[in-house]
Amino acid sequence: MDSELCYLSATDLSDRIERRAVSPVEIVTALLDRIARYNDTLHSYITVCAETALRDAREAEREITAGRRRGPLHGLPIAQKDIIFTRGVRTTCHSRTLLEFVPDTDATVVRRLAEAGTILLGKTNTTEFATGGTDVFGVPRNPWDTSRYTSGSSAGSGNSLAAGLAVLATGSDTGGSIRGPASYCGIVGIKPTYGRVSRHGVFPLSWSMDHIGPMTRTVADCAVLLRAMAGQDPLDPTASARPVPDYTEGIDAGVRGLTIGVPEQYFYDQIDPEVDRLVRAALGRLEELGAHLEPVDLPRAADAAPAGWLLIAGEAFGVHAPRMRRQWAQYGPRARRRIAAGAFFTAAEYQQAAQLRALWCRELSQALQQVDAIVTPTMPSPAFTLEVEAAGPPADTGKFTIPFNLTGHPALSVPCGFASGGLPVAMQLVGKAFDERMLFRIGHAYEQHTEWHTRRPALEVTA
Amino acid sequence: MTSFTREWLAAEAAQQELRIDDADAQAIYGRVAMIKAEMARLRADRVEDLEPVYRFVTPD
Repeated sequence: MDSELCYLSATDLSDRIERRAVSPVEIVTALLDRIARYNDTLHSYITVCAETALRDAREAEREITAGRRRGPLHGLPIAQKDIIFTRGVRTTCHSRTLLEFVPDTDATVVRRLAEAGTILLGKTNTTEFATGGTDVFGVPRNPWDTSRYTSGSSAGSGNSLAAGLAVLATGSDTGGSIRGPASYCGIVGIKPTYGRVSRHGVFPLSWSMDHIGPMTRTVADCAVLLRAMAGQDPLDPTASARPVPDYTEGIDAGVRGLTIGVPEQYFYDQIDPEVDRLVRAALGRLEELGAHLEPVDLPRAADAAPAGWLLIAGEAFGVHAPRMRRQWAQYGPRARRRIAAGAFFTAAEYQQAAQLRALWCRELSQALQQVDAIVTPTMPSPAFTLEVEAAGPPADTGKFTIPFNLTGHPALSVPCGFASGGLPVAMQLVGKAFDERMLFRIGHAYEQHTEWHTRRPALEVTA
Repeated sequence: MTSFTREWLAAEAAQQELRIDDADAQAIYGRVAMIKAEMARLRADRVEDLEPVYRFVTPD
């Protein structure tokens, strides 16, 4: 029963809380039991807030019982990626340089989610500073095959959801760090439009590429969580003043009459044949449901990845340079090498990358005027092995995700099947700026007519 | 423009007060050289006149 509770959607749990069919304390207790059982295998959490989570669950229960239910997230536990500042709870960024760092303020997303009534369950594993290795707290393992990687950097958020160790989670995405783990772990994640979610209190990697977003097991849960996270923030000048809609409004409208763009270049080139087959099958399903498929011309898509790598390196070095000069040896090799690479590009190259970004953004925006969304594979292959991860992951893993960090357009990863080895595969839905609602509508329609999101990994405890 | 060599990287690292060792230098050189080569390839035929970039998301 407790495992079943841990795998219910947030929407379902919320309904049960409202009906007093389950209490926040029961949910938190069930999740803590499961974390105790599997965290040493999966390395999902860096810090588990057992005591405070139970205390906050009891308080939520009292408030709800007294008729002061705040909304659909009240009483639900949330896992926060460990680069997101949590007041009084250490925030390590998986770095030896921050092992004892306890923020004295909450990130804006943490504050907003607390105000919505969520309960901080713990801090999830990440690659070092969302770009390096996982040398300190262990490499996150994929629940579908624990010899495989989760992808990074929001690795613990991805694998905790897949393994039933979380109900809701947050992630950050600079080149694909929400969508990669979502794809490899078979869960849902969205990189919202640039500016949709405040980044105040989140350790930065790349000011122009960083995005914060929700990770969940269903599209509807993702819509609910994004609404609570999004909005203007005086503490983040890049946060948009545009009103935050109810993303669940119209989510059941289906896809009949919508036009889905299918890129003619790049996004279906040089990919695993099973990924190609499953994403095209998902496109076929959307067509059966009434969507119209339309080829879209995106010749500049291939330019995006190198421009993105350069911008991330340059901007990350700008963030880390003072700390790196003081604590070089305390950075893990992968983090320090990726970040320090930014010291060796020229201003001319940075400007060239900015120009390529603008041209690609213009091309994508024009293409999106002709269609309601574009569908691509999220990742070019299913999850690779831990041996490959240890040697350094393939350079092309983020090649389908990073183009949309460059442009800022919203991009939702939705599971669309399993490869023959039992590993999840996902499609990526890309929409117009600030039109996350359309992506949720399409993703939800697909999810309602498939059963991928109902499958569970067969977990074993390993030494 | 100064050509990008391992010697230039080592000198620039020293200038930037980065204490890179040989393994760091090798890894960084490989990554930077790969990206520079891609950018040079794109420079040949893609970059064109464009207004200054100050926004990259459709304005509110």
